[in-house]
Amino acid sequence: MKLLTHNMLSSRCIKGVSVGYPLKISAKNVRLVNCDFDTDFTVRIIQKLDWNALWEAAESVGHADDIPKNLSDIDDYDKNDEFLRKVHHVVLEVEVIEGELECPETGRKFPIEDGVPNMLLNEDEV
Amino acid sequence: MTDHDTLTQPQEGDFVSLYCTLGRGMDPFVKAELLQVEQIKILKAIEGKIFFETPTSSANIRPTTAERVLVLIYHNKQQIEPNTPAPLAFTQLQKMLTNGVPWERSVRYWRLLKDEESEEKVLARLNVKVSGGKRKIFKPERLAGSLSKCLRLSVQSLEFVARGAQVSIDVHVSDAFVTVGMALTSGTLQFGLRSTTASAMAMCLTLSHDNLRFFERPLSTGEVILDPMCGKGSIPNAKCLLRTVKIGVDNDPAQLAVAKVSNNTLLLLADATKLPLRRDLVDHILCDLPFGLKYSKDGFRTLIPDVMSEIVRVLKPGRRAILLFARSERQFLKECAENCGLKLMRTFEIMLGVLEAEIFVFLKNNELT
Repeated sequence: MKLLTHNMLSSRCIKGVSVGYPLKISAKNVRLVNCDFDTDFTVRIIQKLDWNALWEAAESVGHADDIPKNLSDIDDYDKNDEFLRKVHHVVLEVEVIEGELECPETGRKFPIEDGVPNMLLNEDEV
Repeated sequence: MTDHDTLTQPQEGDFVSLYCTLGRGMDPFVKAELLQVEQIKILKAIEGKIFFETPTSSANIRPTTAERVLVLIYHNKQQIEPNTPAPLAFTQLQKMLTNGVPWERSVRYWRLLKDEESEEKVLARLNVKVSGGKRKIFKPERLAGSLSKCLRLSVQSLEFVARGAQVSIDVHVSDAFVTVGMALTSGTLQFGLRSTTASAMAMCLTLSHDNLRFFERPLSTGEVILDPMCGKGSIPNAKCLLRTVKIGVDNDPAQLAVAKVSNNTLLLLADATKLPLRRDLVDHILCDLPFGLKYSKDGFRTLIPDVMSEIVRVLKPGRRAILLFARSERQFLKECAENCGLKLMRTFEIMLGVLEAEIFVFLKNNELT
């Protein structure tokens, strides 16, 4: 699971959950992969990210040093190649292979196996 | 189209006549792909085929929504009367396919386009298709054998074989035309039916060509595309969706295991009726919805509205959902969509093998959140 994926996930599908975001990450196995860098693509992705959730996720997998806690700390980030490459790395090249995601409201845990989050619900949760 | 044969060796930069075969309903997509190539000229379109001329330098075009691409050898109106006895009909067909037909030049172009430098005879197998009323006169297998024998004498650069062929020579005899081509792609379908259909659906997002007259703007870099029932991932892997974020969701881990994960394809094991995604997150939806063949009637009638409801929840207002569905259930889908606040913009009737299908292009109401 890339951190980009995590940034979009929500557990609001569980009965009784109002927001369900962001999910907490417990990573048992994290892998780094190579992914071609694309400036324009990275700039567009940043515009879609919930930065706070991204930073918390990066911290939980040990990669928070790569990016600032607040996006506003970077001026003209779209022109800052070094910053963009760091974001690219965190968002696309850090993968949680094994671990868990936890609903912030119910504590329900969703396993991550072979890099794929299992978000299937039980009958009593829907 | 030129019919004469010449003995000059084809050169890079020459124009070569090719054609695509395509499934029913795929014409606008194949045309739109072809017209992206510079200097290409579409000459003619008939049912199941589009003929075009292109510089040899661009002749490696492989439209993802076409079945096959071939070097054109012969195309002309059918000249055999309906009640012609088979022996006479065959003689007429033989004359059509030998008198003045540029076989040798076509083989030379084929060699050029396939980078075949060998001067030895090309091993070819005739692939004969007979359609319409001509099926009463010609049997494909028998016709293939007979044509192979007569062409063997007149085409020096080809050796006709039953097995081990390097190339298929397609001969299609219909009520209206006779068309012969030398295949540049292998197999019946160059990309597979699911991939071809997925490409057509994806093109509903990428092209704003006049022929398609879809939307005001094509797909932008970094946009998020969701397939909530992605199966083995044909749709997220469509080639025209480069530089986007693709999310594939399926509730079958075996299917997801097959789905190829590109660097921009994110896979989730989840239920399409309970998507674990935030509201108004996704820029576009592409989905091959179940046709109901594997479900009970009640189950199907519940599943589709639930999936549509989730699609609308996660889709940004003013954005598109491109859905493939059974044509027979068109009205049911339209009602589900309207109930959720989706407006039908356009449909394309296509064939998915023998299944009558339709690509539906919906727009989420701008005011809906």
